[in-house]
Amino acid sequence: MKNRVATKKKKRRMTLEWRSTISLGFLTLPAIVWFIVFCYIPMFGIIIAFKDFDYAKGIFGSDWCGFDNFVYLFKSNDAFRILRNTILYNFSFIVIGTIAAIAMALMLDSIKSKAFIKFTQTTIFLPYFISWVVVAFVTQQMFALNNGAMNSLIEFFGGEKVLWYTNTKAWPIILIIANLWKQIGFNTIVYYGSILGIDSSLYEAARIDGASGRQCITKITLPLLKPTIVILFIMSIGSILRADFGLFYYLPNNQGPLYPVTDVIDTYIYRALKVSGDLTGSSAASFVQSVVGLILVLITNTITKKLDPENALF
Amino acid sequence: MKKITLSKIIIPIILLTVSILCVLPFLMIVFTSFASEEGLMQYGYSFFPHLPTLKSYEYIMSNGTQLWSAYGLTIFVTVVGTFLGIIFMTTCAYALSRDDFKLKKFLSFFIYFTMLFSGGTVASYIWIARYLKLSNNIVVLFLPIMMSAYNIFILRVSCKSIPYSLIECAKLEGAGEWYIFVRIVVPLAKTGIATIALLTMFTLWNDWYNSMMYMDTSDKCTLQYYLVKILDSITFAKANASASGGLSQASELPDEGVRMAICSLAAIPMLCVFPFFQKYFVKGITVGSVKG
Repeated sequence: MKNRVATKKKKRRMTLEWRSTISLGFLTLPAIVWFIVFCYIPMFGIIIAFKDFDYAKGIFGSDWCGFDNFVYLFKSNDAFRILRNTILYNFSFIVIGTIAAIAMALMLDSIKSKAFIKFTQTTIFLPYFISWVVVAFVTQQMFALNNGAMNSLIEFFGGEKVLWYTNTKAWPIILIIANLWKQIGFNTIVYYGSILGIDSSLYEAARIDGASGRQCITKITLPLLKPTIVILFIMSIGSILRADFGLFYYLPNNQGPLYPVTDVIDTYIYRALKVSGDLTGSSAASFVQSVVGLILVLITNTITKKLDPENALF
Repeated sequence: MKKITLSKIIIPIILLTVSILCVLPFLMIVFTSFASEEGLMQYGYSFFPHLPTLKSYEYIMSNGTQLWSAYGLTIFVTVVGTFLGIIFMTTCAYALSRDDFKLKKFLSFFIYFTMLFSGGTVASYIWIARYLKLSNNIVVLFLPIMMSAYNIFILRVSCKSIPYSLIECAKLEGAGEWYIFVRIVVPLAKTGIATIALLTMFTLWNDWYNSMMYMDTSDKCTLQYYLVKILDSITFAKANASASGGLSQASELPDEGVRMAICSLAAIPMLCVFPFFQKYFVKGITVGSVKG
């Protein structure tokens, strides 16, 4: 008798638990449907890289063509150019961006005045909220041949006007500065938030033991920031083949002479999709972008797991 | 001891310099929007324009029908997209934050995986344009970009900070999940929600990519895409001008001042909204949220 009551109770608890799972499941439903429609179904579309795509026949109706698209892509001069540009730019963005943001966060942390902190946070965050298109209007003004801000400045100091939009040497620097300018606010806030999350008693204890300000930074702050740095690093390695389209397309004004230093995978794909309409090379480039990205995340994560199990992403 | 005092002077100076550098381009846009063509011709470029006028704004006020309709569409897209995105993301994040949700592990991974792998630009474009037939439909301007896995995980952290005992109490009182969500979860997770609302709003307001991909043959045009069109026509006119040796085309374009005035009008709403959300940001963006 007792037993039966117990099992009945258990059953009731089970149904109660499932009841909450079901109603919580309903809450997730819209998001799940969205992820299926806009993320999972396009994943299957990746087979387009192995197809001779014909818009009328669709992705699944088009004929298979094996590795033809990849052969076409890697035989062209574009493949090396877009891969090199994408990887080198993204890598410098990661390294420079991280160092600058941590430095900014540490400096911000050393400031006592609340008003000054708030002021700095607000101003450095502003560029993040502006689209690349608006930035492009500014750079167009800055680098205009006549009456541009840069050339006016150069002439003021007695220099010669520069034809910025054909100058391949200047653009890597311009793009790196522009990207740093736009992202520094967001990244600084991320690291500053982590620094604020550090238990202040650690610093107090260190002070009592006679640690200097620099020792506090190198022995407490930086080691405790490591998880954040590692996670952001793994994530950015996964997207190292994804270039910021607006930055590379609008700032250089889509100028042909600048392609050697500004053409990246995303601008290449865009031109194929909307300008030439020829998907042969770009479907392969898109495949490389997605698959290599996934492989890189998995590799970096596995290495991190071996070296430092606590900081691995998953 | 000396070193510390030195850094006390240098650090604020560095921070102030960075702050100024970050704001400078905005000031440049605003100042140039008051520049007059005559001043520019006579004196050349200067940061503070010579002979400032309000002409650019007057020009926009009287000739800006396209700009105002672009404004209207952008506001619509931003409001609807943010609203839907926030509701769907928060409900999902809340469910994923509950330990008694049996599908928690599976669904978390399901969403997490989309951060690691995607079908890529080509496949998404063909799927949306050819199969979903969303080209030239304004839905395409917010639907594909109103949610993201990353934002859901940030929201999940906010929801996790709510003590479960509170939810359990409400349940014992007989409250349903939806009631708990609206009355308890939303007010307590407002830091995270505000952060994500701002990020989503900003994404939608500043998006030109979807317009360019899917709405390029439509007469409806968002603010950012309107700017893109101006930018393209300038590039086109310049190329033509240098080819034919004249500037006949360029005279039809809005001049520098008008362009910058349009830019300021496009950028200002986001810059005005931001300070209101700012206080939530430092707490809201926590990176640990994406750890699986």
